[in-house]
Amino acid sequence: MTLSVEALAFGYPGKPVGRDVSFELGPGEVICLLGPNGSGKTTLFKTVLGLLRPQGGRVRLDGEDVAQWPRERLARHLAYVPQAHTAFFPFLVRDVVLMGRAARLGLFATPSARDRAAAAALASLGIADLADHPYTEISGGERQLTLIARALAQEPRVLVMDEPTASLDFGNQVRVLERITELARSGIAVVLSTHDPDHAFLCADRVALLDDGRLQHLGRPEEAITPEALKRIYGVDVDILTLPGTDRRVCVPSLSRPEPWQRPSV
Amino acid sequence: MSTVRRWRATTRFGPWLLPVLLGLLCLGALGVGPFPVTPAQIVELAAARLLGVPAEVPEIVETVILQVRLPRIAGALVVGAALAAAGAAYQGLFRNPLVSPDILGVSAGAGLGAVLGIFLSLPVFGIQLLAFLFGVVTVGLVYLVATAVRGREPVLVLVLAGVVLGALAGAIISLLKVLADPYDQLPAITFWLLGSLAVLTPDDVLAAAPLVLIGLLPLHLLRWRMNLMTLGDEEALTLGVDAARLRLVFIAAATLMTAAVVSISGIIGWVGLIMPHIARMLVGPNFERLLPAAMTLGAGYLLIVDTLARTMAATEVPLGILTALLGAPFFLWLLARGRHGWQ
Repeated sequence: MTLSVEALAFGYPGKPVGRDVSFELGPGEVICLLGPNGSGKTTLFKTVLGLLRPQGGRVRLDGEDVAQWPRERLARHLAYVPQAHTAFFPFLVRDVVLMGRAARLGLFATPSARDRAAAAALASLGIADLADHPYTEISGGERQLTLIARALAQEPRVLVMDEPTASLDFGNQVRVLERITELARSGIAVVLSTHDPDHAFLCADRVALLDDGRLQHLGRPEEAITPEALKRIYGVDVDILTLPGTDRRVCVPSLSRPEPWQRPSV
Repeated sequence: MSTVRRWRATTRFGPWLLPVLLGLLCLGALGVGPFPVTPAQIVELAAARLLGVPAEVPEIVETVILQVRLPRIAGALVVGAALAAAGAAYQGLFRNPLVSPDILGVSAGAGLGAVLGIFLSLPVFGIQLLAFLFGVVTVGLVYLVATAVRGREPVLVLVLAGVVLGALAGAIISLLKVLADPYDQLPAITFWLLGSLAVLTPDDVLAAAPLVLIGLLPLHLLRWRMNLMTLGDEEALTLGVDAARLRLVFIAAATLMTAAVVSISGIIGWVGLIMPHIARMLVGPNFERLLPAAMTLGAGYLLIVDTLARTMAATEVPLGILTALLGAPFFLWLLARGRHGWQ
């Protein structure tokens, strides 16, 4: 399934945030959205998900405008992974994942604990043994994986992930990125936002640079993420190095520290 | 993991243990009171009634059991269960464990209706009808106001509108109290606002019970979807749930139940706040198990409190006073122990 975003203008009523955003996301592809705080990443995602009405342009799934789709139909194709949050009530991880089945069940139906899609989602992320733990008592990384499992239980074709690596420790960031590339290999289209350009190098097929609500660049990571582009949107100096013997790239920010002779003497 | 183990244990034993305890409570409540009735007489009467033969108990015992205590016990069960169910629904809906069924002003509105009825010297049925209508209309107004205000956080706007309209109703109640006849009407108003089952008739219970059942039906049918409402609107929407419409259904159902029981019992606080809490500690937050657990606990709690209210002193103690006197320290104890059942 292909997600097409066409000349999308987005924002809150009376407060436009961005416009002219267009991109296409095909099956198995990962697009990484980079942009500074306040550039409109979350607002863009909310509009793609139909939580905010587009202020212009349209969102299509396989060519069909989704504006008129009922929520249930949309949720069977397009799933959302929010940032790992603290829940208000201590639902079991199993129950949280089962909530992903809502769009696939009748209005009055209740899913069973043996629901196969939910169990498969838990197993595919390697967190089956967390099923009987309260969501409020697991770690941030485990919560993020649980929310991904909930989205997978929707059996979607497109995943929208809002900063899935934010506030995770180093190991969990890597683990979540690994899962994302695995999901893409299974044919799911993924669009995620991140604050770390290195994550884009690790998992993205293409990178979209969003600044001030406009798409500044859309292309392969090594084309999109350049010292000039990062300087422009983040306002900091960054060197981009290629690791010897590989084509892996990393960003190394250069701190603008005063030279020793400029420091005040103690 | 002890929490989960406790939930599992109560989920296994609760479905038969709690109703059995509730049945024993009912038997006990039938027996106690100023006029002594033995358990044997109760069993005798029940058996005779079931078999359709005349009972071999004194007529006065029969009257006490069937005309006085039974309707009151049935009333306590219905009122307690309804308040606890509405409280459980609202706590999930508003994602806040400190919410009680009157968050949207149903009690304040019903109070205003009842006080107006007493002020106008209406018959009992008229007072109850006014209480019910005002309770439902108040929540309706709150909902309309909240939909008219196009905020970003619909739940917050709802709660604020409920607080404002509730305060408004409270002001008008105070005005009517000032204007009311201090010897005849004012005591009636005061007692109504404190809640009591003392003058409950079988007809009252029979009038409220169907409304409670009608309200309970959507809560039961949509019990699993209620879990999704605790995620907040945006997440519920992305999971394919029409959150706004579902919330309207839940609010309507909970309001119907609350208004129906408040109109026959007066305002009884704390039951709808604390019972869902305890239920959540016992069986966890999943509404499929939370709803029946909260209802059973609410019914049992109000039965105990009402039995105390009619037996502990020479005069009736208003229920609202007792539920607060028992509920507030218990709530503090829960907080101090740190076993919240919420985050």
